[in-house]
Amino acid sequence: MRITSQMMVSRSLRDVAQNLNRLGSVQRDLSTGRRIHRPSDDPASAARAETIKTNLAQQAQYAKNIQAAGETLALTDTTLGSVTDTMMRLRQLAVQGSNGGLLQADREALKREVLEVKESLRNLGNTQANGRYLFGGVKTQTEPYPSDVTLSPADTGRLTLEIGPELVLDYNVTGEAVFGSTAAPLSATNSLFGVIDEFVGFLETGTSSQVVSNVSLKKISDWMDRIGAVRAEVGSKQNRLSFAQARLEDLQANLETTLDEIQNTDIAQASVRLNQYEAAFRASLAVGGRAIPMSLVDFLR
Amino acid sequence: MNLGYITSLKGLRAAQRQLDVAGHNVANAETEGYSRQRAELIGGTPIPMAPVGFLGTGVEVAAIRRVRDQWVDFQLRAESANLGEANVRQSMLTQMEEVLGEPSDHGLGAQLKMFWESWQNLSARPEDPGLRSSVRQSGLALAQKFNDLTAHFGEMRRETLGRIRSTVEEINGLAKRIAELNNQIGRASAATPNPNDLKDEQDRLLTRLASKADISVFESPLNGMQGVFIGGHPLVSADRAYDLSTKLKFDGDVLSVPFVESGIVAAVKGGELGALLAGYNQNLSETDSSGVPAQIHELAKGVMMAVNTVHSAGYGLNGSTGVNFFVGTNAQDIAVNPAIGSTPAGLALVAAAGQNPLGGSSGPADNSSARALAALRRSLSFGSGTLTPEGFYQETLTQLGFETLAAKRRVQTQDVLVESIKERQAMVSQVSVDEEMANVVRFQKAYAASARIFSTVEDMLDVLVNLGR
Repeated sequence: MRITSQMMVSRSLRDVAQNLNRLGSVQRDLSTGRRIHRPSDDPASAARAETIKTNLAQQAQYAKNIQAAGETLALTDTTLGSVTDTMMRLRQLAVQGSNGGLLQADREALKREVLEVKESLRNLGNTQANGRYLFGGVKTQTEPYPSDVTLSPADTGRLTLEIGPELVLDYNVTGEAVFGSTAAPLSATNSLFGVIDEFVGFLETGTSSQVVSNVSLKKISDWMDRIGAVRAEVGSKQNRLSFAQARLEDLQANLETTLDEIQNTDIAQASVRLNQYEAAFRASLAVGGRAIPMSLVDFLR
Repeated sequence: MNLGYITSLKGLRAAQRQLDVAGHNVANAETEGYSRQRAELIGGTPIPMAPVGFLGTGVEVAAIRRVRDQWVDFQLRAESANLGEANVRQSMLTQMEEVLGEPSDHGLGAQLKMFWESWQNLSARPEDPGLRSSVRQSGLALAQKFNDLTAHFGEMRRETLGRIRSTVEEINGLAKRIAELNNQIGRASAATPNPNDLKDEQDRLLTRLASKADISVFESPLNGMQGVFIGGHPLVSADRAYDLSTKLKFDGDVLSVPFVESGIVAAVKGGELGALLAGYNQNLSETDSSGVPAQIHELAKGVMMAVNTVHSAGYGLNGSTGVNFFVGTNAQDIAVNPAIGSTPAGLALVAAAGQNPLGGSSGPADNSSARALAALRRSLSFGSGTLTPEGFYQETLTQLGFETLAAKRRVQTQDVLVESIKERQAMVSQVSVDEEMANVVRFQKAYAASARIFSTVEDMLDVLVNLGR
């Protein structure tokens, strides 16, 4: 083979450039921690990484929704707890009202307290969370229980959020489920406020304690059962949410591990390569430096 | 005795010529495309001397030839065209990747993602003006990104047109010089054979021309002129060059380069010009479905249509309905409906509710429209019902990624191939200074030897002249 000195120069330059190139790319992988900087670095892996990232972003969104729904449900549970406590007080008053031998003055006092209980139930019905009426259905900006509760029949719309793909959870308790209908005229059969009004009426007219016991006490006890059932439903929804959250977290952890494997640099492997390429680069520089300057011209006198 | 003078004189002259050629070689050791030359010697015409036979009459320089392998030239031209094409293709595709700038937190993918997420966020609290504003903002950002990408690709298309024109001009310039050299070679060959340096220059020009376009070259055995053809039509014929036109021909959106004189479209498939044309007509096309800008338009149109269909069926906080969220026709002019402004009245138009929130059966927390809009993220509305909007975009990226990777690999293999061909050519044709130096020593010795013969003949003549004294 006929070799000229220009050939040696261009060959060693090419080798040096190639080695430097390899060194540069492994250095970039190491310093950024990523092995995919543009789609063409590894199109198949880049596509998979993007799919996983989209997936992860959706999971994060679901987690956010679960959190928001969970907060509302927790607040609803606490509020329903207060409603239950107030109902217990109402029941006590009904028990007192079922006592025979109540004087007019006693009835007056009872009535005043029942009306106060009614007012605090109404206030509980107007509980607000983050600027939204908890029991207002989708009309979250309208007071569901104004001082005359019949004025604005509380909305029965459901608040909904996606907590998974095609998985929609309604997370509000409607005022109707707790307090019954507020449509005028209030009825004593399907409205808590109607039941209270009926009780107040009994106290005003001095109806027999037997009737109070049979009608009001019973209705109030039934209503407490009804609220208990609503609370149980809230509890089961909270359970469902924490299950969904746990599943989501598992999924996220798995996806993140896969994503890490796909797009991040294998540090150990890259470090070994860095050393290899560096050695090759040094060698090509050294060889080039020694071979290029030699020429017959130097040896002719 | 006289013959001795002449023979040694011829030896001296031949050695001198050889030394001249070696000097020329050394001087051109670094000249690109130079082939080393060699003085070919031949024995002088012998004189018949019956009955002993023929007596030699010294040496003559028969020819000064360049040492070159024509077959390697042919290969080099073919592979230079491929390398030129691969280089341009790689740089175009890489630039397109850079325009898209993925993967990143600011690319179109991220903007799409944020847009869908803003609807999902709004579905949690549709009455919140902050969340309504963030839907508008993410819509603005998405539209802006579409506009920017279209503008950048438009810029690239214009740049490519400019490059096509300047490449055509380069081709014309090279063709003109090759035609001029044909003329010189034709005239020179008639008088003196082997115009070595002219032919070197022509080979160099042909190789450069080959990297610009896929040409075929035929050398006339008669006068050494080179004919150059593109797709069967002559670019250079004898001393005449046929220019390509810089007035490019548009057939709809498809671009081609015609010959000035005949108007025939030059069938350029390879070389830099071939890659530029293919890039402009396919990868950068706004109409061909394989073009990335065309796919960005399709994405913008698809998203705009889907969002508007759902949005106009929904209701705003103020009971408005039938309002489009986006306006525009494609990625170039897509924008958020200007009616949806940053004021509370403007933001109220964002339709999150499925029914009129002012009506009896709905309220401001009605989020069914917002949820439906967020669910568009999962709808398989692209690629004949197989891809989500983000999936479609991802497909575009992946496609571009694979093409760019293939182009990069092609550049690498083509580079190695061209380098090895050049090396083979160098092995045959390049000047080796060491070799020339060794030859110089040889020629010097040969000169000295001939001079010694000369002085010996002279001494002998001296003896003869002084015989009688």
